[in-house]
Amino acid sequence: MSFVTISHLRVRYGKFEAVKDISFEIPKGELFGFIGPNGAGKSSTIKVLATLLKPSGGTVTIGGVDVVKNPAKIRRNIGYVPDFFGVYEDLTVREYLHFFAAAYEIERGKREGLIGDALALTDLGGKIDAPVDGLSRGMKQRLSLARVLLHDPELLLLDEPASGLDPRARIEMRELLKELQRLGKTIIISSHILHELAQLCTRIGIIEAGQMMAEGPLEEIFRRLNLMRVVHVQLVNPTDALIAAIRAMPGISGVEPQADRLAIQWREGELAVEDLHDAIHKLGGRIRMFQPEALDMETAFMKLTEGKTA
Amino acid sequence: MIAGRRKLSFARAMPSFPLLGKELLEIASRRRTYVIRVVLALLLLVAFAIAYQQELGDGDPLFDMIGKGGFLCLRLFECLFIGVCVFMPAMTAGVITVEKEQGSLVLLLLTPMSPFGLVLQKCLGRVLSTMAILMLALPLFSIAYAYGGLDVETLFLFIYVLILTCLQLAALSIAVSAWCRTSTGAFCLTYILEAVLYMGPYLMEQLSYSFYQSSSGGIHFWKLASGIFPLQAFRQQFGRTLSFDLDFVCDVLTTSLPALLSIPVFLLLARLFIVRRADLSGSNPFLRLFRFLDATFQRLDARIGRTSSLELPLMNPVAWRELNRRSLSNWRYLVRLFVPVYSVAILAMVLFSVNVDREWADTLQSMAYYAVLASGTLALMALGAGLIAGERTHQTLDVLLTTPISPRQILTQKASALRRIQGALLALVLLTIWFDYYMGHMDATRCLVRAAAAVVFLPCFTWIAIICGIVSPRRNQAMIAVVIISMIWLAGVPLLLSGLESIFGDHRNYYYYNDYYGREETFFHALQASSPVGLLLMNDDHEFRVAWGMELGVPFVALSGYLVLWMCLRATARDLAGRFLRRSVSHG
Repeated sequence: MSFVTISHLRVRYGKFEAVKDISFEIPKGELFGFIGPNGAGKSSTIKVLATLLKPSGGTVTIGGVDVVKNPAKIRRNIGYVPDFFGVYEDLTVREYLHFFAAAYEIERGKREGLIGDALALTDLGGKIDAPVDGLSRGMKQRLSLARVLLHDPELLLLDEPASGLDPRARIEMRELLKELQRLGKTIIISSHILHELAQLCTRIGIIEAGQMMAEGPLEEIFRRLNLMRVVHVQLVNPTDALIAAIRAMPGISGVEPQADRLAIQWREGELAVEDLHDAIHKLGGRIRMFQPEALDMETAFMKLTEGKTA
Repeated sequence: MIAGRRKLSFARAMPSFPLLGKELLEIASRRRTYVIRVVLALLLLVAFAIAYQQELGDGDPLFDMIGKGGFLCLRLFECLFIGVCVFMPAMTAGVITVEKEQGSLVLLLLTPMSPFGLVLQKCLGRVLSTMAILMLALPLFSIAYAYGGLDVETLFLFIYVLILTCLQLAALSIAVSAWCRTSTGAFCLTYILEAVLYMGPYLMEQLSYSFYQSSSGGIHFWKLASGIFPLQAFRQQFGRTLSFDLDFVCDVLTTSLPALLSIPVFLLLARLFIVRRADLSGSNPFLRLFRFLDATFQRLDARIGRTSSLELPLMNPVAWRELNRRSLSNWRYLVRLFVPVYSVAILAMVLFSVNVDREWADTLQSMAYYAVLASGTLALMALGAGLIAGERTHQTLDVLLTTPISPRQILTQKASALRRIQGALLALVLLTIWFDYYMGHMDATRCLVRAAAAVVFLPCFTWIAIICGIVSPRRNQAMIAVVIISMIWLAGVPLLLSGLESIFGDHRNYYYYNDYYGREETFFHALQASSPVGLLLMNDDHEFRVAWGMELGVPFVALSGYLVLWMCLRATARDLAGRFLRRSVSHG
């Protein structure tokens, strides 16, 4: 059962069509990565979901509620974090969160507790009386996330949440998002930093020039594209005969002996990674290490978008 | 080959103006530049036609206009001069503050461009575009000149004064823009300084006469200083017969010396401020001072064992932030800000009333009322135009719009802060009126009309500014729009009506309503009162008579109209908020 349904969505700015007839569905509890170059239409799609933009065509529903017909109901069920955070610099962290607690009409008695929980989750508990303009970029980003957690929305919309963050803040953000997913939130996250989404998302959608190029679970997309993958294998007995036998296996495109290991390139569509492991074992190879490389999303992205960027 | 090399070396020797080029290209590529030029050209044509008809009367167009070119040129000059005084600050005050708000000024200062070069190019960008607008009047000047009655020297003086005012106001606006942190502050401060600069020395000179009743050093100083206002400096020369010789040139230069000197002074100040005040990311100085006072009082409270409770939003969070976290809308801060202002105002009024003669006291009281009303309106206009634009600039509007608060509620809650400021300003206006009445400068009826006018005008202008802020994507655009609309309403309506009266009515009786006061005049008066300026001037000149069976028929009907207008503007703003606030700033 899909939680977010986008059907034939079109977004137009004057004569320019930013989103051209895209359709996809996101099941509940998924962490959906929206990938595309700048100007591809990611933010426009997210803004439609956040009720900030009216679509030129198509229908968009969240939890079965139409975003155009019932935006007020949608707003209580979503949390939107723009790439520029949108924080009031003249308030303290406490005032800022109370501001949004009042905006979401949260009961007065529950506010302190909810704010404490959100700050604990985002690791900002010690900053409760700090002025917002004194926070670092990473902290402001976490504060934005604390804000959207106050009213416990089912869907989080994060537009380029990691842009401008240092590596530590990115890792913290990633861990926080995984935690939120564990809490059962459906999360849509847009980014053009591909490897970041590869480590995080359960599903991805690749958008380019307003059109959805591919959508689905990561493995499925790789399988569909029949992309080359690499596995690093450390053998106790790496003889020339064994290497030649591995090279001759169906689905193997190359074996590159390295200092302490073999880098084996294989096509996942033709040979599953488990079968590769079994085949090497059957050939007499004594395996000390077997480590497939992370999915190469850059290659997938470039292949799908034919190297074009906006 | 040699010629080509010469050309190349000449091109290298020429200083480059990349910022000026960018500014001019931006102005040239905007559609609204041409719309504004066409509208201004049409307004000039209308003003010229009115002046022509006023001068012609029932005469023969072929013969009776001969020798009357001077009058036509003077009218054109007046229109252009008022236009420069009103629009130049609006166009220029934001040029550097916008860069500060976008964070791009620091980047510009890191380029090889010198700070003075930056100031100069920014200034020239606005001066050149204003000159292009002034050139729209050239064909009309040539027509007027062709009628005769105007020497070349006077025509030269008209053009010289216009260019000088243009340069001076551009330099002043740039200096203020380099000093200020926000466009709203720059916009208000530029107009205030313009008024002080142009009116201040002249008023001080007159006051010195009134106080001392004889010539003194102070009077001479203020007389000399009043030359900083180009129109004041050349006022005596416009009517004279002049000859174009060395004496004339020297005379022009010496007369305009204070104004000429002020231009480099303002530019140097801008050069100084643009570097020293390039990165003003902190809050405004009033807010910092007030927060410091708050913290001090809290520490004192803590010492005596009193704990102050936290002020947190319980409901209507947008209104809470506007009323508690902004320097000009918090009650406590408003009191701290306005008590000194009220005290100074009362002291000044008492001093003037005691020391100057009756006629001058009347004039000063009137001026105090208009100054407070005008500066209050200006402040509210600037704040109103920036009400929504501020949320857009700080990119907080999108976040706010994804909460359950509707755009109408956002607007209503934000406007609550302006209502409080309106109240404080209104109190100051009413104070001047009460003092007028108390000192016997004005009768109760006129005081009542003035007070009622202030009560309805301030919200009307505020809501016009709010509407401009909602519709315009940028704060500067909103401010320019609100200045144009206000000018058309304030000055355009009386000008047009006087023109229509002179063309279609009995122009010889235009100034003598007391001779005959029938239905047509009542209607005409009501039309005049459709402009705030018209209403207030008629009130000051005792022109209201019995109309529609009431002693104050015309002002009553006019003020009721303004009340309806206020409600309509408020409803329109709320309606537009629903449609325009979701206008996205960027898309991906």
